[in-house]
Amino acid sequence: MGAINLENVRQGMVLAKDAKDLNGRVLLTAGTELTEKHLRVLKIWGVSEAEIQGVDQKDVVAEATSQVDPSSLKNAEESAAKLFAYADKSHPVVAELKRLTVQRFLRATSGRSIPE
Amino acid sequence: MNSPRELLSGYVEVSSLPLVYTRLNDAINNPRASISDIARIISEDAGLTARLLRIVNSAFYGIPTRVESISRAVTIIGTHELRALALATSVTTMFKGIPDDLANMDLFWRHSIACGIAARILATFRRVPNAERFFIAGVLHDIGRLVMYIKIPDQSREAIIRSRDIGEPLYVSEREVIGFGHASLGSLLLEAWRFPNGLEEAVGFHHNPNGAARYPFEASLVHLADIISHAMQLGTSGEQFVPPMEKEAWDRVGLPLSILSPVLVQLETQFEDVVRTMLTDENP
Repeated sequence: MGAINLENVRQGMVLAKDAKDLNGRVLLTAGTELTEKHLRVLKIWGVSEAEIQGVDQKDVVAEATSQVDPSSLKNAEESAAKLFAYADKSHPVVAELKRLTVQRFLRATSGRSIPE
Repeated sequence: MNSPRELLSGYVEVSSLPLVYTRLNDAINNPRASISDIARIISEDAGLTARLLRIVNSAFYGIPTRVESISRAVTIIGTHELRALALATSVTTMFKGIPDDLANMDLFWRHSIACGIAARILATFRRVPNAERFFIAGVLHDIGRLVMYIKIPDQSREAIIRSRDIGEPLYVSEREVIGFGHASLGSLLLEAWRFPNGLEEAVGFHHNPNGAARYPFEASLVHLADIISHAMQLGTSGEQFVPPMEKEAWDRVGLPLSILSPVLVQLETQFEDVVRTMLTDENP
């Protein structure tokens, strides 16, 4: 288990733990089945993650990457590897930033604009 | 070899700030000055007025109604925040005559602005009061590089070539070739401008926040904002790599890992709008 990023939380998912804002105030309690309105509440209060029953951030990431064309993924990962040559990829923060960078590269190549 | 202080003392063009900023500072620090005094000082500078109004009306603030006058802007965002913006927009026009092969000024300021926005977003998530000082620290974090490019262009070029040839972070090459880095030079410039010490350390230690004696939190926040801006490749300061992160910096700032994704989204949303308002001079 563990928290997943709010952007991957969908309505119908069930909270495994209380959702709290940055000050620790409980917004929604464990066991709540999330509705569109709940998601909006979490967003408004600056909540960035939630623990969901039966879902893990690793699953979410694995599912997202499985839908990507392997050769564009390889290109994106190589560009990111160059950019992060001096960064300590074993640190979770750097790893997450690199993952988000790969996603950005993928969006850029699949979308309209390709940055130089 | 030059010392960083010698480099600055011979550089009169930037050794003092634009007059309008000094007057603004005096007025804000003077308990008897009113909001209309402050608005009048800004309004006397037409270019500054136009730039400030464009920023206040941009995605940076997301104010639902249009702000038409400086006095209205002062009441909405406050004098300290307005001073920070005034300074950020004046600094982008101060450095003239940088050789093209050393830096593309447009890309340089884009990276600086990205870092400023990222720092302000992180500070806002962390609920730090006066988040605008982090915007300033971010915008100014690489300013030492501009001094280097103007005062010691040959050594700067040598550092850039070395960094490209052997694939080494530029801030490391600077120390090797020149003997000191752009961060410490930048903090000396801010000292000459009589900036608050927190800003000086945030800029001076943005590559090694653990070294900041009194303001490690400020330095750590700019350190992370710089790393984020490099990862997103919004503009460039001449550095080709994401700089290494000091892990204590993340702990010190104290945000959850999951904050990174919304920070990147917000940065991307605000970036083009703020760049347009700060780097162009035409009227809205």
